[in-house]
Amino acid sequence: MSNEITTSPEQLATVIADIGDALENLRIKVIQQIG
Amino acid sequence: MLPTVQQALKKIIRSQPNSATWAAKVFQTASKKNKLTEAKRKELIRLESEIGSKLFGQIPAGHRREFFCLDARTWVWHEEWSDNLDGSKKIHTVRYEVRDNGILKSVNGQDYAWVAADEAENLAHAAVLYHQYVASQVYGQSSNEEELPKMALNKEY
Repeated sequence: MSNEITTSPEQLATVIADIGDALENLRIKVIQQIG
Repeated sequence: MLPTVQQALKKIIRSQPNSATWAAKVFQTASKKNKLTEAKRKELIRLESEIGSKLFGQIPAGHRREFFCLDARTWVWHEEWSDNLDGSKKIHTVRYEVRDNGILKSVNGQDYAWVAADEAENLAHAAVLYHQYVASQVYGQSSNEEELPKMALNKEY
């Protein structure tokens, strides 16, 4: 994941959505591990 | 539940009375597991929010701040404090909804509006930093950064 922030609303939304997906994956992984 | 599914379940229960007990146990177990998963998820978000709240600098005395990723497409900024004059409780909650074509924002449950370019950029910066620090400090992934940076998300603050 790049730390470079682009400027168009679509690109910014994509950056934030990718981060949201990455965070969700981390949560799911931890919940499954301690499940 | 669909009528056909309901009818099928009734048939099964009539033909095998023990199946009702079995089905109830299965549903109870699934429900308990879902509640437990939800509790764990909330606890993880609480831990993330402790870091998220510090991304924007020192929290003013008497304020309680939260900043967290609620789900893959939703980010929340929440701040509470007591008014200096009358002591009344003040609450400021901003909910950001990430769409394919931009970011929507709702303040204190009001109507959603598209965020301006500079606020969208700030949110993206905050999200990048949030992921960086949360991945390291909550989920134990490696990171080179030690100190949390200070930045502003919203010009109103």
